[in-house]
Amino acid sequence: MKFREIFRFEFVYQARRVRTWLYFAVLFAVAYGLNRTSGRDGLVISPFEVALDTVLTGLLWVWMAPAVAGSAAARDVQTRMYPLIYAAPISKADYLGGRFLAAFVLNALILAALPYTSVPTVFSLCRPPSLSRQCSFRWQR
Amino acid sequence: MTLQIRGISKTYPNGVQALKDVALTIPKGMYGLLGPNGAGKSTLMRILATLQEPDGGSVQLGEIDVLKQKDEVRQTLGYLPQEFGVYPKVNAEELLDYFAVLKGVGSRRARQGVVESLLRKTNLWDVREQKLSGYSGGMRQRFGVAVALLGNPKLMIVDEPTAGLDPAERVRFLNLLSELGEASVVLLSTHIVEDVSELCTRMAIIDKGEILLEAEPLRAIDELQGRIWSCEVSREAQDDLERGHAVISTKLYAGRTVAHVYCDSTPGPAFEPAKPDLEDVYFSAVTGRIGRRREHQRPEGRP
Repeated sequence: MKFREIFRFEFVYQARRVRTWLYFAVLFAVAYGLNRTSGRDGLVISPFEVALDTVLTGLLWVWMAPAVAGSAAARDVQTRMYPLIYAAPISKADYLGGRFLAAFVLNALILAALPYTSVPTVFSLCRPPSLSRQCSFRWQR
Repeated sequence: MTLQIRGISKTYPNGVQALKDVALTIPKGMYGLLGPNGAGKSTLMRILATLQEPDGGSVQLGEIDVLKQKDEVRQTLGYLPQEFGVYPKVNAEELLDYFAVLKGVGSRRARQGVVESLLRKTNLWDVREQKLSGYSGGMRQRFGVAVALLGNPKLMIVDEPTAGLDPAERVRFLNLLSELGEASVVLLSTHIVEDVSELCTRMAIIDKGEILLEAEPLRAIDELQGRIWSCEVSREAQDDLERGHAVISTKLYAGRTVAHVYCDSTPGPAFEPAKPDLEDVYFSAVTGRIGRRREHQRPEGRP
């Protein structure tokens, strides 16, 4: 019960912040740009291109992940609310586990910007009405 | 339920001895812990709130060993620290609901009832949807009180609660505390003498980590009857007065300096008998005219 509520509160608290969505938007935009650039030869979703874009965008995410996790870990001290929290009857496992899981899920969702970009990239490069013909032609190169 | 503190000592790594063999028995009701800044009050409060370990001693709340059974204590503890912050991006209702979960108020319906009742009691109901970052110091303090009151605590520890409150906020806050004191052990730590004189049925005076006096405020005041004398004094004559008499305090009154002197009989023609109050008790204890510090001092050279 307490674990679930600590997780829920932390997740909702950070999900409501503009910063979290900004991270998602930046990753999405960068990944989309990389996909578009690497896809100019038609190799939009080749395994190599996807891996390359994921690694490059992941390098950017490495700068964002600590902000999300750090906020979850250090906010009580930063806001000086820790005496109220630490005097509450909660176990270390519930407190740390709930916070960690929330930060983990938030980071996973931010990182999900990478695979999501493949959809608009494919559609932007393969516009109807020649979608099937153009794509099949390009992908067969 | 009684809170028994026995032989609590605490020395910080920098060598400062914050508490020296503190022993107190605190019954149900309002109990004031009075002392100057840096006396060790907050250290004692943090130890009682299970946030800090003492070097030695024991603390017993009824059947609960406070130093060993921390989870049990926290189930029944309300703690309002001297300084605390809140998450700025949530409103009071959400954060209080979160604390209610942490305190073990299980069902959503029960939480809603508790949260509403506490927000109304602390006069925050009308601003419950306002972000906490927009709260004034007094409102934040009242929010802290609401958090501390969650779960009907049997032990309530409030550390310097009225510092920074305006007079109206202070009165409202003290009324809230006195209501709580009817059913729980409430330990009020403060350096404001009026807080103790208005609220507490028992009190202790602490300075430099030592309990100097444990008493009932009214009885302690009674015991000073006929021993406190006052006189107006100029700034130039102040040093002479302090050399010749047991001055316990000097303060400005309508622009003039008035000195209070402790003496068993009249110290001189310039002095008038003063009606003692708790402030005189406090200064008499801190300057070693009454209480344990007097017992420790040698009689030579004493007025």
